[in-house]
Amino acid sequence: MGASILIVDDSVSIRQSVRFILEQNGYTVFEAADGAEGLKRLGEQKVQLVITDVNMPNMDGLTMVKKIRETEGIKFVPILVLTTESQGAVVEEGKKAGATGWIVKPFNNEKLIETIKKVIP
Amino acid sequence: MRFNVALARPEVYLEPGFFHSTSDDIVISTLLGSCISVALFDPIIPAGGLNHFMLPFSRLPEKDALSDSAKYGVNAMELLINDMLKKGGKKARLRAKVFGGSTVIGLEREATFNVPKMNIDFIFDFLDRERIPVDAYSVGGTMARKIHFFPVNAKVLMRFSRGPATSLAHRESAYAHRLLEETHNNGKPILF
Repeated sequence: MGASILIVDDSVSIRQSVRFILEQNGYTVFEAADGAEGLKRLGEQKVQLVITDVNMPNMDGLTMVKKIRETEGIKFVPILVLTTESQGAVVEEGKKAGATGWIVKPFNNEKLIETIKKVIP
Repeated sequence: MRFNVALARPEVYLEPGFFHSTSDDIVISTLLGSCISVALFDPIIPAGGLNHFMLPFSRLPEKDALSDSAKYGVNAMELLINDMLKKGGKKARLRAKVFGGSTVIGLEREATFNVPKMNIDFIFDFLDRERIPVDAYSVGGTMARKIHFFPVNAKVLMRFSRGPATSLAHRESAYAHRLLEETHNNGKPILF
């Protein structure tokens, strides 16, 4: 069985399209609709990678990244940010928060899978 | 920002591929051919936003909402939704009005399927999936649409434009080709 990946995005459309591509490539996928739900899922389910959006209700993606980095047991999980945000300042904020990588939407399927394979070979 | 004398408000005009959202009492306008505009409104702020986009057409038929071209539509919508959230909007409160998707340009020559229909199907499918209710729409047909959207009260003035659509067709076609380029050269992932 492939590695498990948690997708955190408030858009059903994005979750569906990312899930579709990941499952095609043999990954097991879990979903959460915002940062708070993402943290909760991580407490219940061991995953090898988190892919998260930035702008979400309840808890945004970068706040979730910071909280993951402070939480024993999950603090070392790689996190890819998948977002419409492309401005340098926001990307820098993501790096500071502890994200592993940054992908700007609309993403290219092959590049997404390539990047995932670099992070979790 | 120019001033629209007839509507007595500042006016932001959207070219294809652009969006704007605000809580200011202005008017956001655009001219639509086969592209789609969605007006989003959060009644509590109140604030509204409008976009003007189309799906890039590939020569391969792509039926489902997960196709590469649909991702561009999802992205266009997400940019507008995120802009509304930054203005204090809440996704769960958003309401939509949908316009466009007419057959004014000869895109059929370049694609093997119906571009306006693909755009229309996409947007209703998207709004349904994201649970954003549609309060009004005017889509399809063969005439261009001129849209004036008032972001503070969600009002839309729409009229069909009977004039020659040559320059509109040219702009939309250029936009469609730009998108097609982007689908091949989009953002490089960064690893920190």
